[in-house]
Amino acid sequence: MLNKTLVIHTVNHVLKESIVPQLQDGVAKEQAIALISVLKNLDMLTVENTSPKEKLIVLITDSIDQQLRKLISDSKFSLHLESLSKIEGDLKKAENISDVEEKWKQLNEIQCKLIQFLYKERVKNPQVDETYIYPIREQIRKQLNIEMSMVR
Amino acid sequence: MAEDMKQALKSYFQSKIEGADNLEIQNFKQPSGGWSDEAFIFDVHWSAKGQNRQKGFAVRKQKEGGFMPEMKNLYPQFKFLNLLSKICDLPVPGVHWYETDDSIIGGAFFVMDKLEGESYVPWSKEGQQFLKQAHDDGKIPYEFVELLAKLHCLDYQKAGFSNDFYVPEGVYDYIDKKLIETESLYYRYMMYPDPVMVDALEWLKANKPAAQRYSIIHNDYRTGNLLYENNKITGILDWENAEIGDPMVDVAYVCAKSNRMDSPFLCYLLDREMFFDTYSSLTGLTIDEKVIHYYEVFHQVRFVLISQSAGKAFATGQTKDLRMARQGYRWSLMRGMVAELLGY
Repeated sequence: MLNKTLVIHTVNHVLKESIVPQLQDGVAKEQAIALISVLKNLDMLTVENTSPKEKLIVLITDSIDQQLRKLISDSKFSLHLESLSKIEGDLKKAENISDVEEKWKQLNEIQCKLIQFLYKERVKNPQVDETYIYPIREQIRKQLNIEMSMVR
Repeated sequence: MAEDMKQALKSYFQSKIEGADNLEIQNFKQPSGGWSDEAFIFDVHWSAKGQNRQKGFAVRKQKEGGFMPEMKNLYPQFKFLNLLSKICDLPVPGVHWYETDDSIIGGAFFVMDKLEGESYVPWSKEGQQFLKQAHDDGKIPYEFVELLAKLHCLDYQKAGFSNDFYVPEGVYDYIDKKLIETESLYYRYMMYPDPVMVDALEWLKANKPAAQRYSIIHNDYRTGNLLYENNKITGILDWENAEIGDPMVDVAYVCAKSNRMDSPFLCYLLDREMFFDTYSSLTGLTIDEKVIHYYEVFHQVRFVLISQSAGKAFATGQTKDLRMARQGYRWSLMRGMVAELLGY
């Protein structure tokens, strides 16, 4: 969620402005000042970890693709082929995005549109829950597990 | 910093207490850094007409940045407490002055009475020990429910709340308004489109419960927002979200997982059955598990928004408070709790 460089830059700012001036112990002060330099170096020598988002992109693409095929072949949705084709077009466009962050963002946007579409349909067709919303939730749960495993 | 604040408060009280000589601020405490607002607690000592006087006060000051900063306005809270403290015997602080002049202490603030008692962070080791002991003893748990029931039974119309605060009318009026507000907050603080939140918002719109009646609700009623002394609850604090609404919102908040985590007790204090039975018998309201579940989802969505707003404030440089970054990182975990509630 947060950019690595921004976080390290801000941590260093807080160390310099709010923590170091309050430290009374000489050793603690020296260590805190060294920490600022260590963090700066760590930032320059490491890159943002995009691998979880790359995994998510694969999962989301498959999930949307699967749901769209199911919906298009479902006769109850024959009146909505236009809306579904629009979502399909958005998916194709998103697949061509090369930036990982942007691609992940666009795919999530499509998932959101799909969910909103299904809730609209649910009013007329309560089976949408069982047939579509619950299976999508299963897929989103897999995505969430990856996201949650990256947080402490 | 604390010394500057003490000096500023000294000058302020000097201007407010007519004929006060030798005014001093003593026992000055800042309970914590404050997530949304800052609080200061202290005693004012002075002499007037040859007599020594003393009174405890608390100041609540608006903080820059923080959670959902656009939603902050201390004045409704001041007005709410002003009405409430005059019409009931609930342990709520009376209020004195509301100020918007930044030059006084660096931001808008209001002054209220200091209430006696200790507060506990419920999930801390000390808090959990205190609340477990209170649970086993049984007096505080009953009082916890009784105070909530009393609040929900107050006649807000008669007390004049309807002159200054929004009073919902139809059975869906309150929840409709809250959902519009919640959805607009989601888009305001959105950093990435979130299918979990979109699902939850759509689910909330599709499953709205009808309110049995409307009451004054606290909206943050939990063990961490109370004061305790001599095995009694001596204060109910943090009224910033109080409003007229569906009392089940408060009931579900007491049940919310975020307020108990792995504890077997609601808010680390209450047995679920005892809470429901006592509350129902004191208020005459029926507790429907489906409605409680609904409002638990609603609260969890609001908790996600808190993480979202904190993360966005940090990411966009509106705050350098590292606690906001920590909350931002918790975003996925909070969304996980929404998903769990929806049965993912």
